[in-house]
Amino acid sequence: MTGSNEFKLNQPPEDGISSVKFSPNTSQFLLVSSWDTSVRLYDVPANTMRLKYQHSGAVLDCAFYDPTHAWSGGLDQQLKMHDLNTDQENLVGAHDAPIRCVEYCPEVNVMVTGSWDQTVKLWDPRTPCNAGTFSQPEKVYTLSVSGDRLIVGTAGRRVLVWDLRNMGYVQQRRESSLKYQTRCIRAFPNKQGYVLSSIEGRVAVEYLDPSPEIQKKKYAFKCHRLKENNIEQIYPVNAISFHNIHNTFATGGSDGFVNIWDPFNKKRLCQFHRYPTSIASLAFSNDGTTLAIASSYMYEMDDIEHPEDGIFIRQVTDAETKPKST
Amino acid sequence: FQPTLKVGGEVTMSQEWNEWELSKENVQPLRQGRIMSTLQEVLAQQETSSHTAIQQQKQEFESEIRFYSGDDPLDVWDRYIKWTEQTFPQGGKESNLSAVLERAVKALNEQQRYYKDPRYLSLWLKFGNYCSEPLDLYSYLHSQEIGTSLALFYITWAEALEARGSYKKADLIFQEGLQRRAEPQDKLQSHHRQFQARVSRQTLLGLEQDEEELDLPVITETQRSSLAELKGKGKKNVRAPISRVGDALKAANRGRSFQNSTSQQVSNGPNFAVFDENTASISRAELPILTPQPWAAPPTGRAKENELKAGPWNSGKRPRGNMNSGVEVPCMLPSFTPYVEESAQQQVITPCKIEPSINHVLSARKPGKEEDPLQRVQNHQQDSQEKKEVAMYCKERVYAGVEEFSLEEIRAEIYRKKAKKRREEEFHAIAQQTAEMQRRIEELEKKLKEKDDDQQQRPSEQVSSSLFICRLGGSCYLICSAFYLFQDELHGIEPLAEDAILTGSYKNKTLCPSPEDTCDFVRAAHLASTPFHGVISQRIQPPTNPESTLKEECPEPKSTSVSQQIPICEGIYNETLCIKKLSPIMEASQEDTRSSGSSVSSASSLSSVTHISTIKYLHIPEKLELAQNDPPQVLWSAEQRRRLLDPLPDSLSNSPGFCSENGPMPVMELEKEIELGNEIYCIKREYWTNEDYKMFFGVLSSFAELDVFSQPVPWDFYITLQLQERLSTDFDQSFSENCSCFLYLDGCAILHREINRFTLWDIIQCCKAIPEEVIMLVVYNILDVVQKLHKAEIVHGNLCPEALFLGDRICDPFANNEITSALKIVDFSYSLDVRLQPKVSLLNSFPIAQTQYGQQILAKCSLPYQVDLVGIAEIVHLMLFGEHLRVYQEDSLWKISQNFSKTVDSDLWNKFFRRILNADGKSTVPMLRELREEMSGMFNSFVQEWFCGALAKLGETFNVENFL
Repeated sequence: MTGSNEFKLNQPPEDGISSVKFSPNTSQFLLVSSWDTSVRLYDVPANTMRLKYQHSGAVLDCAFYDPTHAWSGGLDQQLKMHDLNTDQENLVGAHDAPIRCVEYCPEVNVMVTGSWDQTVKLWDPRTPCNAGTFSQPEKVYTLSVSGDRLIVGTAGRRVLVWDLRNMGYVQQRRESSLKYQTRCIRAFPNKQGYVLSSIEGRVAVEYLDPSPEIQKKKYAFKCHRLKENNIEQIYPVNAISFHNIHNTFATGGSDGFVNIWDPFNKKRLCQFHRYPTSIASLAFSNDGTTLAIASSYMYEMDDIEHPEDGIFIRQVTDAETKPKST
Repeated sequence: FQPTLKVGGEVTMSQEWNEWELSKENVQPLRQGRIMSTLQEVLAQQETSSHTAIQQQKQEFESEIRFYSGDDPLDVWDRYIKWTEQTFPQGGKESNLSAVLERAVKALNEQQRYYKDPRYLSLWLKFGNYCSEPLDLYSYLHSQEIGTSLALFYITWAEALEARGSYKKADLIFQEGLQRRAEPQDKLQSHHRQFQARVSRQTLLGLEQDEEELDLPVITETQRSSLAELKGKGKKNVRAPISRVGDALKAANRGRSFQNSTSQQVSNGPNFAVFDENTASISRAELPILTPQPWAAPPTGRAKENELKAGPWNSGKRPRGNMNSGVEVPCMLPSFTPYVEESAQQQVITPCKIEPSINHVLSARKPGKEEDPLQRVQNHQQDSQEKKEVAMYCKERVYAGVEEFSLEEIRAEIYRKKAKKRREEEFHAIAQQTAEMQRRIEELEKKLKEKDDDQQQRPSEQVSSSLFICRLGGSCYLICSAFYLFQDELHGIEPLAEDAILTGSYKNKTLCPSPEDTCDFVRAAHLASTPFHGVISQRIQPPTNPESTLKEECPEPKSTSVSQQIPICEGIYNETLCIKKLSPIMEASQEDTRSSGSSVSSASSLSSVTHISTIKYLHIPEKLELAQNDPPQVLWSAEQRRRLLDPLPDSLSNSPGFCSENGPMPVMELEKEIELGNEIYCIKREYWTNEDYKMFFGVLSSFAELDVFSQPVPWDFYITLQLQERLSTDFDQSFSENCSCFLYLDGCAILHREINRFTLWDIIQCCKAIPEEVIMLVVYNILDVVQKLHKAEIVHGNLCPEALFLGDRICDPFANNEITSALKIVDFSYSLDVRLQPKVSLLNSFPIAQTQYGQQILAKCSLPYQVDLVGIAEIVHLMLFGEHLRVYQEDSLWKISQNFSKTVDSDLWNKFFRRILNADGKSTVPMLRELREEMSGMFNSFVQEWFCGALAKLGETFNVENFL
């Protein structure tokens, strides 16, 4: 199934994969967090695992601060910073409930974590220490950074836009335009808006500018649905990743498919072959040449027998990722 | 929600005020009453706005609903609802009670078994409060036969009807309830009676009123019902003002309509008393109370005479509406903003200000039509029947409770459950193991007793063991066994004859001089329960001690008093005491391996051994360039290992033997005393030293035994723990069973207690020729140990005679041959954890690879396990020939250069070397097992006697001069 433009990483995590993230400056290193309580660093071209460190519980998300520092958090509620050069670990802080998301905002030089304790916390990565706790109306499920803005998706389909330079108040309080639970939010690299995916096969493209004429442009579409015996099967859309250069994005669903979309022409650019199981996480490398695809069952249908978890590395071409000029 | 909410806020300054007194208005009454403590707590929490505890509890309920596996899901919902009622005394949106009820009703829909359950009924009835038309709900329940056997149903229904004035219908409902014998019947009857009383009184009053005001048609049922059609939303408890007449009646009505204004557009039509002057004046009087001060003079307030016609309750409502919209109209105070902004700039919290128009654009989904919850529930039932689409996730889990759960939360719950189960299983396994061990101990005790009897039949065999009696608070009861060589000269402890002890003449030998000193006492207690078992010199006892025999003492009456003093030790004492005839064998036997020799008389120090090795913490400048691919060359470099063990695995740092010291490592040199933990050890012998680590033997300053290593990273300790974990039951005496680790800032020391002092190297050195049987025994054991190591995916890396300590099988003549092992490996400083370091291909960094033979053999080898095989070959070679291994290659097979003398079984050894030297690429574990099987049975009882002799010789050379 894997062609010449794609291969599977060796030494994959032993349990579900929660997140894959590429290094900020090279497509050589991939950080992977997993339910097996570990965070691993892979050398992608060499196809080897370079390093691994442990949490005391399942790890739900990880992020690079810079090429040599990884941050991660999970069910143990602790936020760890790991020096990848010296393999030294630093316990930065904790939330009152499991940490669901970890992101880095380069513009403001701050790490952001979102937790089921209904807060977002900011962390100064240099010290490192807590730089503020901001309560959210519900459990945080996903967050994304767009320039100096922070977009938080919570339970109850709420979306909050914060200004990281002035966290005194919520800049925008929104409601998801989709009917069902928010699974993932990722901001456009051009900082104009974000894409939100829901648990029932839909994706919405939204714009941050609140002026009515811009807001008119927003739209949503159905995807990751399969028809079988005349019954439409609707899958959760778990992962979104943007192509940094073209502003196109890939979505991954529990149907095991990865689609690449052109949000400007409202077109699907391509669909890859079906992966063994749900797509749990996606990551374009910084230069947009490589896409890491974590295929890992997410217990959508409860704790049942499922295909092996794996991480696929795929080289993508402009034909697959560049908007077609019309 | 309720305008009265403000009242509490104004007075909060005075904290000593009772929360309850402050917020009475904000607490909704509950039928079953409120728990005062919860109420207080909740009200207090609201002030501080710390809701985390409440959130957590809510989360727990939510997850319980999703993962409930019992057979009474209603129970969870029932508790959840009760908790919500208690925790949110104001009710309102925050409590989300209506949503909880709706979910519960949906979730438990069509569960026939609950239809007669009072909890289920009350769930529905509470839900009814939030329905726009509760009467519909009652009819629905009635048609579904839900709760129709319960009195509460009829009472509530009838009350609702009564409140609307449908007395006849209400009576019919009561009648039906009685007819159906709804339980409890007496309650239903009494309610019915009260109802009848009210109705008749009402009729009576109505008649009176009729006489006064003929045009006010309050009483007649027909009128009441026709005018009551204005929908009373939400509240079922609104009752007709049956007992009031005239002005009072109207005033009361109005008052209620304000208080209950929650959602009700109430009104009892008949009171449409617009023309009544009295009411008009009253309502004006009410106005200031309801309108907060800032809005005291809204523009509409300048009432012109003609505008009063809207009616008193209308004008009462209006300012309230204004206040609500006030939030959205900040433009009312434009003059303030410039002043505020300047100072507020530094404030962290700036007020949230979203333009309403924008807000509207952003809330994309139009708020759904206000549907009646009951309708929603009914729709829900229909929905589930038609299916054209299917959601490919467990939707019922995600949306089961009131709040949604993400897939990760659900998985986390499963994950936690699994972890919990695993812990319980482990606990169970440990319990089982303990039981198994207990059983084995008992077995062994039996065996030992038999042996004991044997020995008594052979009095010629002198046993150099003796028992001490220690004195505790005047009561002499303690027994321990110890084995000593030079007790007379060195410690002045007289050997005790059994008779002497029994008669009590030696009872004042004090091991625990002051019973008040708990430390001493505990030590003594420890000694009593787990006497020292270092056994080395048992057999080397010079025959000059004919009187040393085994003793015991059990003054039972006194012992009880001691055990009362220290209840913790009770079990231990009892165990010791109930064995009437203690033998040294028993004491020395394997079940006592835990003995900390700390309290044993110094006489026994001889037989105890300590090794200390030290490693300087090497600060290798470390830089793993992420782009560079070369793995580190030196596998056991401190830096590499530190990386492997960083962070220290929990298993390591949580291990009972682990101890992190906040300071530099003490200097360790010969004849110096060092403190480890709370014990002071005196270093007596240095086994070896190299640049980054040393190995010593030390004695506890006054008493006995331990064994120390050290390194910058607790690698040895790590390996030992790993072995323990991976081998589980196979982890036996071949390894250090009682070791602790002291981690310093610049190094670390590892202490192995209960190690026999001698190594295989001592034997090889002191004995010119080693009998073949002995070699067989040793080889047999080496193969065994190495096989275990390899099975656990650990490569020892530096097998040499110096690293192999003699085990109890050799040193303890009475050891159980089946169980005890002849060798003990404690040093893992060159070891590899193949699981942790899977990619090791460079064997030339092992010490053995520096030797000529090692270089030759390992040059083409790839597996690290091979290193240990060469180590074994070297040891065997040393024992057989007294010199180092030399090899040559013939037909691509490695052979040894030495020729076997005629005395040994050359066939066997040739085969042995051929296999062990040419094993590259093969799995070592089965090969080692085969080799070992060939060896088994080739040694006999003679071996042990030989060792005793050898050790005695060793003891003479070493003990005296070096240690004492």
